[in-house]
Amino acid sequence: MMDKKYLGELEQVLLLTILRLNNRTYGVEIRQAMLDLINRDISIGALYTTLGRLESKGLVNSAMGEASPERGGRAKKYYSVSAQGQTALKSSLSGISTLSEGLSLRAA
Amino acid sequence: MNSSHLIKQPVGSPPTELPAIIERLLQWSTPAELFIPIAGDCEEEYCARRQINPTSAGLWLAVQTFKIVMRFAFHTQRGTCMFLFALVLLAAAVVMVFVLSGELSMFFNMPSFLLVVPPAIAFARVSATGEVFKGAINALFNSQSTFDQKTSAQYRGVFSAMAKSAMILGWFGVVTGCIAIASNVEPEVFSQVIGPATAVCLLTLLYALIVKAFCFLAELKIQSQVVDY
Repeated sequence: MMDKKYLGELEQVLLLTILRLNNRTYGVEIRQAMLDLINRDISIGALYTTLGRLESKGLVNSAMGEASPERGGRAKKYYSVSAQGQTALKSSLSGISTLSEGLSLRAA
Repeated sequence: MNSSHLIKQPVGSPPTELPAIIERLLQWSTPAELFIPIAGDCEEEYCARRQINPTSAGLWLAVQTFKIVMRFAFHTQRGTCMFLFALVLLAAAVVMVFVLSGELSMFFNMPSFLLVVPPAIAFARVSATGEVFKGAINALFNSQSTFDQKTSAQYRGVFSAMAKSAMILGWFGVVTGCIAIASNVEPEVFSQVIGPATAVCLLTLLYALIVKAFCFLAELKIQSQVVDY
């Protein structure tokens, strides 16, 4: 039986952001999308720590991309959500949806 | 054999816009497999921000680098952090003993310091090739580099030579000081000057012991990075 993967809040946000960016994206795009869509400015260190954790759990895959001049000739590292990651995300969001159903939460 | 984590840029790649100190900090703190994507992301965003406001771009880069170092360095440079922690503990213990023993100023004497510390470093430098000496110093501040037993023995040899030189010079200072006291003290002022003069002549030995303690920690740090291939 496969171990169930539990996701933290930032992990969910990251997986959703990667999926929104056509499931193939890199650090700068992820940070920019999170800032534009949910106004969340995550540090580069936190981003790569979380991506590394997701990768070690098998929830995202990564591949080195092409080098570009605006990056000083350094390659991008592209991330995509794996099938296992999508299953874990779906399960996690479904749990949150079930728990929050019928609750009337106060706005700040 | 050295296996450094430092990844060189490909030949012919565009020059990096990141300040050298930032580049070195990122290289030092990030895991080998993440250095290229992280430095690339930093540079891409830094260049974009710099076109709008160079000052805030510089500030942004400094803050991001600080956060990256704080996040990764405790994992990638654990040995270095522990070494620095041990040095701080050593310094704290020495200062505490000085303070508890009396006036702090009685433990500081520039000629004694100059007799022990710079020559000990110079002797350690001449005991090894420039490459080995530089490698030994770098090994203290980079836990990501590993080496075999032979290289480790060469690096430890640098600190061993430093410790032994310091002890020889320390005793040399003590003996020289004692000879000077014995030759110059007059019987009528013997009781007034023998105490302070002996104290000063023992300071070289005290500095030698501090250098030896530092070298002991350095040798332990280098030994912890040995990998048997």
